[in-house]
Amino acid sequence: MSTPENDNSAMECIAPPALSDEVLLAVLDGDPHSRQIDEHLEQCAYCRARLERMRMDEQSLLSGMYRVDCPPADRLADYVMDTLIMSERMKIEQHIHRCALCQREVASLRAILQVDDEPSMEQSPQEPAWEQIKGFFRALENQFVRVLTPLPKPTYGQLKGSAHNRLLSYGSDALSVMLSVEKVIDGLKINGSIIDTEGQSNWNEGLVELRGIEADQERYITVIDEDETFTFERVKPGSFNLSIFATSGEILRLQKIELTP
Amino acid sequence: MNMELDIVPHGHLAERCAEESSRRDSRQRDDRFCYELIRRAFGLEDEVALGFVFNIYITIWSKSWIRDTQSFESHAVTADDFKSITFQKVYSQLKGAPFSSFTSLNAVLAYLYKTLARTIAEYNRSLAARQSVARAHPAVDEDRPDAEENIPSAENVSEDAEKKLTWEKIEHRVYFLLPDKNDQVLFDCWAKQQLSRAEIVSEFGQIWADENAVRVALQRIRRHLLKDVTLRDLLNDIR
Repeated sequence: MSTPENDNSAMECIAPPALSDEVLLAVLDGDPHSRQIDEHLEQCAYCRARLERMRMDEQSLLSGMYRVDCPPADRLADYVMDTLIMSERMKIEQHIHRCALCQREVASLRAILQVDDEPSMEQSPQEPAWEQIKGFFRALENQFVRVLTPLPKPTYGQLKGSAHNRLLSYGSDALSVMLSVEKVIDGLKINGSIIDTEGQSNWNEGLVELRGIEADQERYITVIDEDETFTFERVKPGSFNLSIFATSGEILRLQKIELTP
Repeated sequence: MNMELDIVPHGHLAERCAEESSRRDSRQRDDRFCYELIRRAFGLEDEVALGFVFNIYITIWSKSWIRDTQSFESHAVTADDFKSITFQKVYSQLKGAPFSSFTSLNAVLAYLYKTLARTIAEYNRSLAARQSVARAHPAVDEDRPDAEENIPSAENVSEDAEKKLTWEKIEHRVYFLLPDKNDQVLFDCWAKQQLSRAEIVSEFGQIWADENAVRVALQRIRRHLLKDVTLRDLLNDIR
């Protein structure tokens, strides 16, 4: 394995005998080993190259093999929800029987979801293809939640009717959100604008949610327009957390916003 | 569509929908009000109706769908976020013409619930993958290809198919090199599930009594695998 036949840089160990594969694997695993081994590796390009080759081969193997047999997570969810056809259900059951990771995921889903209380799982006609929204979950994998903090001086931009309204501005890096708060007859009208100078996320048609900090406060949602602006009508004054859910999966948070006239 | 309900104001529909949805006995529920409200929200893309539907979804429909909201406390994405994310995705998928294929309230709720379950499942899976990579190779976590880069596109489909084929060859080669059943189980634990030694002992204590036994057996099979020129060539090809 670890004889670097094609490595022209160092063909021989400088202080034979060369480190054994067993020792190199122990180093790779971070297992306890003597200081002499570290010193040998520092000085010997040949053994270092063998270790590096070993590391690369194992990394390739591990990255390619990881969960290669596991059913996709959404299938596992369908299994828990009991919406699979019998043959697929049995196939997944067989896999779960020998896979500790899938056993854990199924147990976790069963612990989280109130499966007994579900609406009857009739198959929805022409159900949208699940693959289409996979990209969203991939973004979630990165736990892409960005908390925007208040900016000292609101920037005047694309806000509708912002001339005489209270302006709030939040930002982080190349991204900012401006809010214009306007008093109307039956509450507050909030106009918002997302300014993403990097333009990496798709905000259009994302969802904006105003969640009251107090449990009994109302929640409001609205959809982001093509020009990356949004509007809430008739909001009752109070303290809110605002979350913006991009269709690409990114979540922006503006915390503890005081919405007052 | 019900012609009478067609002219009922949003607010009145929302009140009746909430009232009907709160009935304990589902056989006594009249779904027409909720369905009409959802039809306006999703089918007609009416934002006021959407706001009403969202509030009923959060406060009534999905209230019991997540049993254990505490599980999410340590996560960046909360149980409520999952519900909002789910709502956004379902709205995005069903708004306009696609909604017409959902002809009952139950079909919409079932789809919402299924999407929520899948959302959480995907999230769990990604967390597990991150933990596994961080544990196996703490120093190389940032070198791992970004998940976004793995999204299949028309351009890289054939490349992906080729890679898949090579991985199948690698897997076959590994099992050829490890004919012993226990060695295959150990390989699966190490490479496919990336379990720690302690986890392997916990799962297969009858085969490997302690972590040292796992370490010794693993070293043996890893040495054996990485000595194989064919396997190394295949791994080299795929890099």
